[in-house]
Amino acid sequence: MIKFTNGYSDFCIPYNEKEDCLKEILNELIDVGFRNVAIEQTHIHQTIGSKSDPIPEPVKLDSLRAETNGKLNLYNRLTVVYSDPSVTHVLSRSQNFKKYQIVAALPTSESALQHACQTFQGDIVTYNTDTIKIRLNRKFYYLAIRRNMFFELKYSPVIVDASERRATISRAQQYHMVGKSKGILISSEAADRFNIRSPYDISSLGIIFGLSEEQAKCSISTTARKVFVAAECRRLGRTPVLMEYADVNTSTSEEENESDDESSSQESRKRKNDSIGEIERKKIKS
Amino acid sequence: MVRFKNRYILLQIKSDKKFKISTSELAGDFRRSIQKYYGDFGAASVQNLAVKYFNEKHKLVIVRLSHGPHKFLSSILPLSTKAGKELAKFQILYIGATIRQCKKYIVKHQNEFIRQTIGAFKDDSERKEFLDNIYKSLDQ
Repeated sequence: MIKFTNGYSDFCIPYNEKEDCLKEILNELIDVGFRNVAIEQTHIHQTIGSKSDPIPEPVKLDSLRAETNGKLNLYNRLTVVYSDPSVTHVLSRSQNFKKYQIVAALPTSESALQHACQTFQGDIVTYNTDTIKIRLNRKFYYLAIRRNMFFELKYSPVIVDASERRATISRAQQYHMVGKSKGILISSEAADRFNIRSPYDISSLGIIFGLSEEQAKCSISTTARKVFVAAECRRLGRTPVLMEYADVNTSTSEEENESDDESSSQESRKRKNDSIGEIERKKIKS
Repeated sequence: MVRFKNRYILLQIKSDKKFKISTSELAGDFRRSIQKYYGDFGAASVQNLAVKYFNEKHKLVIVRLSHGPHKFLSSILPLSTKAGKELAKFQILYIGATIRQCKKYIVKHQNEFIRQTIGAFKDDSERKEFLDNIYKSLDQ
């Protein structure tokens, strides 16, 4: 079971080949008070692919875990850049895809954004410099929220670049206009130790994103937890159902009486429905 | 009589290099960045901005602002990357309503700082010097 500590989370630290640089960032994160961090890898989806598994293997985090002495929980995050809906097919067949704890969609066109909100099997909808200006409408925003997906805002580009700052703020205010800033997750995307800010700073920075101080604080603590729980549900949600099913098969084969058999199978169906209901209830609760 | 409400922002400047900066320079920097991000309206709202306390050694600053417009400063502090000419970041530690509460927080913060760093000093005299320096700066 993967550990999650209650506290502040940063779900977007891009993976760097130079481990020293990454270690510096992680140490800074510990200093300012973060507890859960996701290391991001990007996969650019292409329609013509001959490889059997185009998605890269998640990086091994053992050396980084040793460096942080268990003060941080580290996760693998995959960001899928795509414009074509055929991505769902590729992802569902991939073995490596299942090894990532958190999955984010980065749609590059308006129809892809609608696809991401409607059917994409992931937890976060995100953006980059090229796709920051894509418009989103109310219907799809609420659809995504209902499907336990979250919208990301990145604060590190805001610090570095002026034009990026303007674009991020306008996107944040679009979230506010379209869906009252529900389900907003703030993360850093910091490539440098100097671009990390403390949780207190982030909650006051939230004002220029159109969030209240409370909402901003939630977006790095409570919402991050929701993202994690939703991701775990997506990854493991099917398992208990399958286990129940196996149990039912053995019990029915032992039964001799037909009517008994029928009732027990009904019972089992009921049990199965219950377990599905439980999972969904868990999702809703979270 | 209704009290005129102020807010005191306690912040720490973090940088890799050593640098010197005066309180008036700091106040000017804050004014300039508010002018940059919020324009004339912002600059006019923070007329009574003043740097009330500056700890040279640990770079702790208390800034006074009136209640309401203090959000102009607190929301853009994370965006500023320079103190004087050095690359630095401003970390907000506490926002209080009185200067007394801010000072209380400084004591708490410095105690925590002592707890974390005291282990590095092996020598007794060095340790004493380190503690004396901190206590002196607290008395200001």
